[in-house]
Amino acid sequence: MNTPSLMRPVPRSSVPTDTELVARCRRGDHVAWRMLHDRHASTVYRFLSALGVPPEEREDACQDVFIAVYRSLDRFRGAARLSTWIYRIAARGAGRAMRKRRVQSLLSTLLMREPAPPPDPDPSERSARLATLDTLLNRLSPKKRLVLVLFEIEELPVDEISKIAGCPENTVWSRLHHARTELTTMARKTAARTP
Amino acid sequence: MNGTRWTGNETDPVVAELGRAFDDARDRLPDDVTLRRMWARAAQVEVEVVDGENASDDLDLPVRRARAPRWLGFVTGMASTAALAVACAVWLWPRHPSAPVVVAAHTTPAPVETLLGPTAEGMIRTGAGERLALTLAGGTEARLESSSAMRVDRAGRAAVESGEIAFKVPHQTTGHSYVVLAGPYRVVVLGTRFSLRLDDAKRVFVDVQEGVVEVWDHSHIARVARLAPGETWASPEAPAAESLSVTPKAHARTIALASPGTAPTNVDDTEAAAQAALAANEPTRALALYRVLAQHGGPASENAAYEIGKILRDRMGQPTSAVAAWRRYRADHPNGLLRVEADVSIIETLVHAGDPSGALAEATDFVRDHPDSERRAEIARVAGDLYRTRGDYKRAVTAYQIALASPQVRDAAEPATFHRAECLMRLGDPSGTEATRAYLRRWPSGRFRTEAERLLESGDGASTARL
Repeated sequence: MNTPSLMRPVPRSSVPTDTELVARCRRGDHVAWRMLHDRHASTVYRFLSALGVPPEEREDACQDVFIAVYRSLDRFRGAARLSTWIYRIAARGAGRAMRKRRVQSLLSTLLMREPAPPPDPDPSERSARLATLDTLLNRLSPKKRLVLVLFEIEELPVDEISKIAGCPENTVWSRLHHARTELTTMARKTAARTP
Repeated sequence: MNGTRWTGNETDPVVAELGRAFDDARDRLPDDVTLRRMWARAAQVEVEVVDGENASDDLDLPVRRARAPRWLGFVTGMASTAALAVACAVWLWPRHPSAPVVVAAHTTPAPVETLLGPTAEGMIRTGAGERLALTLAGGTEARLESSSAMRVDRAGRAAVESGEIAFKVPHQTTGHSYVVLAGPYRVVVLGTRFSLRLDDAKRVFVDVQEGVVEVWDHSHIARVARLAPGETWASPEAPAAESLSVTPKAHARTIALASPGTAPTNVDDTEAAAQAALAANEPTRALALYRVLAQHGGPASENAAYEIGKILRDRMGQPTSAVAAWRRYRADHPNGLLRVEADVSIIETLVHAGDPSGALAEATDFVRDHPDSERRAEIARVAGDLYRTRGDYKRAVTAYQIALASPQVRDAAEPATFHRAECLMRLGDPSGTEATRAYLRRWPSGRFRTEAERLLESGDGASTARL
């Protein structure tokens, strides 16, 4: 153990960059894949949670995102940051899962004639505040929700959000403005209804 | 608010509450166990890709998809109408829940797939050229190929009678499994995709696409095979005979056969047994199993080495041994997946065990060695607290500044801001007063408000006295 000194310079060069990890993954380096997964797994999990992927599906959804990432590493050109690329893949995956749930829900209504059992309560989401936020976010359109989540929760800059959402920066600002206005209006109504 | 983040410090209580909700959402990160589970599955990706699966072509940035031709919309609309008509017909079809359900097949020239909802007790059959997809109790999806039969009991358990049936079983909660019967065998799954086939001679074939499946001989109550993705298993000609025939697919790996009725013989079994021991509140047995597991190589060994420390500290109340175990973990896995967790666990344990010097040494090493860790701010704050407690305000200020400069400062922001200001005031630094005021402006109802106000009062008094 060295003498404690927080003033010592930090050796940053020992930490491989995402680009280096991608290059190593392409060569079949299992350790690099593990580091890459470890570096981004928490973010993907949080992002999918904010996009409305229910707790019981989150692990599978994260796995799908990383499978897609791994299978497409050869086509990652490095024009965007790896995290931007992963966000985009995750956003598409969440959108696909959302549409699938909607279809399943419709089919359940038409065919099953009984509602699906409610999911088990997730201890990490007992917070009433988070539950309320999720309910409000569910009422936003997917495009507005994506922009709001990327800006407020993922704290990304607008130029990066525009790459992930696939729209111009001005559109990001516009969606963000409308999303915030709608969210605040809905929150006020909810607060007014709550005794 | 436009152009800036939702700070949560708004005067409007609704906006402020939304700000706090966003703060909570930023902290909605998976726990250690979830991360490990996620990695365990992601680690299998390489195998799948090597087997030659093609990646989708739509992931490059910034590519837009070509717009679908107009006629496609018309065709989709027609197809949707037809699907709706079929759905309504199925919905209106008379059903008698009390009687066993028998789905009789129509012989059709081309395969026809029908989708059914939760299936009641009874026998389900498909005819030649017919396929049937249905959902069983618990969300298990079953797909019957042509000329297949399956019996479903009152509890929703399936028994394959003939033909070929593919199952997709949702992940089962800890301690639960899903069982499908096939002749004299029980196929036990924990959440997976696999298919079962019974030929005319009643031989059973199991083909696993995802997850792990165990085949048990029902009459002997013994496990006869454990299958990983890509593996197939076939029962002997005469069911329940002693010999087994194994039919690997083109890309299949070696099938792991287990001795029935013996102690855990492989890594997965040992890990499951250790988890079961912990669940049964038998930490000594769990510890022994994890120690055995830690001797093997691979990710399971690494997890086991880390778990040993947790059991020693949390279940057996032995913090010193726990720290020693995590230090062993670090020596064996210097770049391990759980390296950060081990470091943080050591620091936490040393702090709680009353060893501030050891904790401080570990914390400073951590801050230096993990510049990108999400826990850096938290540990830098701990280092600041430890320096402050021993009266080294100068180093404490530096530590708090490191915490505040970290992008992942989150919960550490408020205590680090206040204590930095406090240390500056104790050092007699003139910027201390402004730092304390800045704290009060940012957290007007913060945890340290009273202390901050007291500090300002005493600081002002000291200044007046000096004048």
